[in-house]
Amino acid sequence: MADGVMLLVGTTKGAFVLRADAGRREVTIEGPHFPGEEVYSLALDRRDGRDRLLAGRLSMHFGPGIGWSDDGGVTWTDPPEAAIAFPADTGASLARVWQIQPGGDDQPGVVYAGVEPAALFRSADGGETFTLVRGLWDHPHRAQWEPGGGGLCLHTILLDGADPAAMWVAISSGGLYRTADGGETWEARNQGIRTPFLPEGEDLPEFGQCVHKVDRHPARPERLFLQHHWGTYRSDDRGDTWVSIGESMPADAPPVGSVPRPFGFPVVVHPHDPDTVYVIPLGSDMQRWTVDGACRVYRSRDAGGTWEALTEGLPQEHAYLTVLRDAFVADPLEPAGLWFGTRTGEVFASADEGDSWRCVARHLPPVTCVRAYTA
Amino acid sequence: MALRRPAPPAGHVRAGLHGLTAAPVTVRVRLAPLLAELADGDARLEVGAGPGTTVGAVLDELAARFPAVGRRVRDEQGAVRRHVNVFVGMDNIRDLDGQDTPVGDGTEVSILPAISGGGADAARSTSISAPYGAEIDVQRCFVSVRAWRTRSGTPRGG
Repeated sequence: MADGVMLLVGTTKGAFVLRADAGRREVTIEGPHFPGEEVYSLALDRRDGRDRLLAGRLSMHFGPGIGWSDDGGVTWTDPPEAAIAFPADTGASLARVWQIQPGGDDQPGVVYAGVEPAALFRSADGGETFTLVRGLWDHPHRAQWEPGGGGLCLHTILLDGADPAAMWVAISSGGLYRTADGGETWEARNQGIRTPFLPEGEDLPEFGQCVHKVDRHPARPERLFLQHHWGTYRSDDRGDTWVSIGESMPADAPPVGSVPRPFGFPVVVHPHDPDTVYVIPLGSDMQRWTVDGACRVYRSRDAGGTWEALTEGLPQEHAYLTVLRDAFVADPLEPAGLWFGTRTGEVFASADEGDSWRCVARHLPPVTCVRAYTA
Repeated sequence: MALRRPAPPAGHVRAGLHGLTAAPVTVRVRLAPLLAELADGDARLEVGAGPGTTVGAVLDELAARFPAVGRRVRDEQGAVRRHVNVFVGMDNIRDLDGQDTPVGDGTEVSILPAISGGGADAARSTSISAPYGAEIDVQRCFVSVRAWRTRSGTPRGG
């Protein structure tokens, strides 16, 4: 059994490391790392015989970069030459690193990065240097992708697991794309995801959806769960088709016409049960806070057929919280723990699969991402 | 052009920039402390240049000598970062000819982080700074902010 949990927490003004015992009762906070800088992406890569921390950092003044540490964050390396940068012929400049995803165990040294403007980069040396994945950058759809509220970002990278050449990426607002050949070619995978911002009859486009987050269980790589700007969806065929599963969840107003619900950013699949999934509904894109001032995590144990609100230990009055797309995560312990951070600087934890919660950190800067690992 | 520290040793021969050898000039570069840390701690540098040199050429040489400074001042497409200001004397190059602004012998180029604030989203923030030792004229700052906002376009939502 693992000794505990290490939670990496990115914020708009630095990164923190929370360490918890196996019961998730005793929590300590270390940091900040990169004080004053935005940290939108964090990862721990335990392959290649080392524990490498990777951080996507952004200085308001001096721009973005990726740093890494092989000593638990005591020292960080950010080389003089940028680890990640757009080639000159693209005319693009890196704005932010939204996602860092180490490759599979059968891909030593491979690390992927999703960035803004929407693009995928690949490293073969553990994240020290990256190369643009041209197959996606040259995709004919790219010119028609539009930025969401956070910018035109590639924020989700999901490895297939069963097939090392297959992966998905999600772009806001471009939709979900899948490659089956290691990134050479990509196909949109958004069939059935409704886009109410388009006229009726044209609101099921091939691409252009504002996908907020996608997750799936390694034991069932064909099943994906997706939180869209409008609604929560499930696919049982690797993203080929999607069905809405979120209509029973709350919103700030009754459903209008066929607009799916709920609005929200993250979606998290239970680490040990591919049928259990969690979301945190927000009022709407006009409010972007927990509905009715009550913080509720919603759990489905039947892959989205039914949902239950989880509230024990969460503030239920005057709680206008926002949880961003990467600020909700499950830890791998048994029973599974859940962690989410808010834009008001709190971190909430559950040691019992969401049945009860506790605020384990407050007064942090706005939380942008959390990542959980065994300690 | 070659970048060098002040007071080169006797007998030091300054290399030419882009093959220019006639009438060399010296441009003084002053770095903000955070950038100076990445330039071996030197906040004041001198750049030897040929006639007709520009701010862009000075920044090229700075980046060649100190890549960690170069990528913090300009992005990978060569644009000066939004919240970094480059002054020639007392004038922001955004009010001159940008990186095409000519620099001559004795010119001082200051590279400073802007006084940027107003939100976590950099695109929403204002951008003000002034060379070392200069008093910021408040009215001029407001004018600069207004002009900067115009140049920067509409801030995006978050």
